[in-house]
Amino acid sequence: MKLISRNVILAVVFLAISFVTASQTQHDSAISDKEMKLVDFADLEYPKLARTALVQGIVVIRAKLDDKGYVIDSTALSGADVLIPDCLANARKWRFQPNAKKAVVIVYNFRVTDAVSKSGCSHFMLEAPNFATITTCSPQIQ
Amino acid sequence: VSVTNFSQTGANQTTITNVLQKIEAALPNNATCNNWLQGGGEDQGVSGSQQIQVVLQANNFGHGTFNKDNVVYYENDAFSGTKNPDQTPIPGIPGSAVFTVNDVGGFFNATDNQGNPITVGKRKYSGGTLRAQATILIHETAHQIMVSGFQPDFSRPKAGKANDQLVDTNCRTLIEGLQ
Repeated sequence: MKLISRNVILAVVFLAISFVTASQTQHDSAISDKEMKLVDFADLEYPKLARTALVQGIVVIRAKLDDKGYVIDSTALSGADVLIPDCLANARKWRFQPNAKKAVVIVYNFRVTDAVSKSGCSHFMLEAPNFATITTCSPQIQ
Repeated sequence: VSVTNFSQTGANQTTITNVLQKIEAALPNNATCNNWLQGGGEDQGVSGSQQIQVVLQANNFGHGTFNKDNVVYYENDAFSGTKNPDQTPIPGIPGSAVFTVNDVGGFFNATDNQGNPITVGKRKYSGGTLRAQATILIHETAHQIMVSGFQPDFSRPKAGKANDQLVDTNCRTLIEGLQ
């Protein structure tokens, strides 16, 4: 009886370790561009506080997909604190074709430019599948 | 306008940082100033406290010598922004400079190059004092977040006076309480 119990415990421990290792490997492994087919996305405005404080930079988001390719969770891998919350919220509005890893990476590139525009200052441009550039104008002297 | 010897380090940068930190610490205890120093227009939702905090974290400000028409410009203490009115970038500063303080203006100096006293704001605080410095930085913060009623005032003395009045009306207690 004792031997059976020990074997059962060992089996459970082995399975748990295998599961954790597998999910860790899946989480850490690179996601190829081929695995990311964009279906839908949402524009993102330059975050207000980042704009007024002229914070620029790149934010990298890893998003978890459900079986239909909808983003169900997003976490920031890097980026400025003031830029991250809006990216996390924006990523949850994107949709991709389902993939085996059930995950994608989205890169947001925030830039303040000297360019001028009559159609407003904030612009969103997307290079599919996952590279978004958000620009805003540099402020005039006052 | 252009800037020479722009820097984001050194003793002058430390002085600016210290004054910003004092304002940031004092704002929650000064409701009138805190309630007034809030973003307007498309900056609605951004508070002066948040602005100061993020600008400090990013060190997105600096100091240097102002020049106008290639002559050293003593009359302006600080400005916010990185583009001249003609939309060209202000020579001498990086695109990430939220505001720039004049090394030869009233933030750091009690007198100009002729030995004349420099005063700052509605109460005519002596240049180089903490009160003058706080007045200048609150004024600049109000520009950055487009506080309601605050006007662009570069080379516009009348608008500058109106802005100084707003800073005094709303933040005099904070300014004069700093130590």
